[in-house]
Amino acid sequence: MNAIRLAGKFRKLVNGLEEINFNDVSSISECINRLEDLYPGVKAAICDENGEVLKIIDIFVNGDNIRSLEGLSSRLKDGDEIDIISAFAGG
Amino acid sequence: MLNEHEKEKYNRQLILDNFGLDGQERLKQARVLIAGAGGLGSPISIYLAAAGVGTIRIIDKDVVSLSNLNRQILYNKKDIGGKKSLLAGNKLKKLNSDIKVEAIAETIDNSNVSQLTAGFDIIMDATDNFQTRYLLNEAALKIQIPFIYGGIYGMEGALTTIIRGQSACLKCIFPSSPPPLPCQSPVLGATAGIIGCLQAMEAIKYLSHTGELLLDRLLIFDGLYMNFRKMKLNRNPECPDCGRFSSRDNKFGGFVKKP
Repeated sequence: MNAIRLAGKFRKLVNGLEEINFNDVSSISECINRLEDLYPGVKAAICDENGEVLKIIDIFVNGDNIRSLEGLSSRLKDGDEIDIISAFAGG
Repeated sequence: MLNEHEKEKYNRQLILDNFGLDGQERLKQARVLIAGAGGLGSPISIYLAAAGVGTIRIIDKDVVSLSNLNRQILYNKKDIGGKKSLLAGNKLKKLNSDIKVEAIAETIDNSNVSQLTAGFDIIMDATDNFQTRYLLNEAALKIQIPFIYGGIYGMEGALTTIIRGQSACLKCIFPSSPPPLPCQSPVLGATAGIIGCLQAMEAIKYLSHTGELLLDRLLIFDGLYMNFRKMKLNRNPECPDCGRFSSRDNKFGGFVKKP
């Protein structure tokens, strides 16, 4: 099982849940597609029209940024934890 | 040198392990720039003033409004309509009359950022937008001083400590800025308190040469479910702001400790 957490203003897109759990998810892009199936609007908030992750978004797998892994193709294994955050701008 | 009055006033932090008279003397000599006197600027400035940071420059052009008072604890109802920087300056001087406080009612922009930051030892991010944060990030990299990023939303927030050549910079972490927040974006005062206090803690650690800094880590606070998590950050070798600085290119010596 994989736990996915959305922080900041994204959280309302998943009804304020602390985390969402998926079984058998193989990559970050599959993870985003499965989120979109359950919570329409998530993908448009994370990715641009070409399907690339917006530059105001950071996605981490077990605390490692997917920019230093293989981006959206980064592979996931059972137990990996995914954090999706947008820049916190308020002060 | 600390006088007897200061030794007594700061006694409870002087007796911290690895802090001592040296740490307090370093705080006394330090010059800290606080960019913003709002939700984050309030706790940052109050705790840095109370801790005995020798010189604080606080910059904000806004005036106090009623809806600021749930989180901007420098102010009260009588302050509504007054300039935040000047009110903050007065409040901080009352809090600690042994320190110097400079209040500046200006907007930080391209034309004044170099002049406003020159001669300071650290920049505290208490702004509410990424345009200003990027300017301060660049200025801090240029003059080789740390920039302590903090941001909040609702009951969540994040912070990290940025040092040229030692850590990812703000542009490495967020290569482009999110759209400006609507003025009515949600925020709980306690969220600003938590993130602002953690930023103040980083500044005091850096200035007093104590502990390990939050370099290359983004600490994320989730108040709704009460979680703290640290995400690893990496420098982007092609970063337009810091890519050209090598990791040997820093002036901080051995006391910059990474987790």
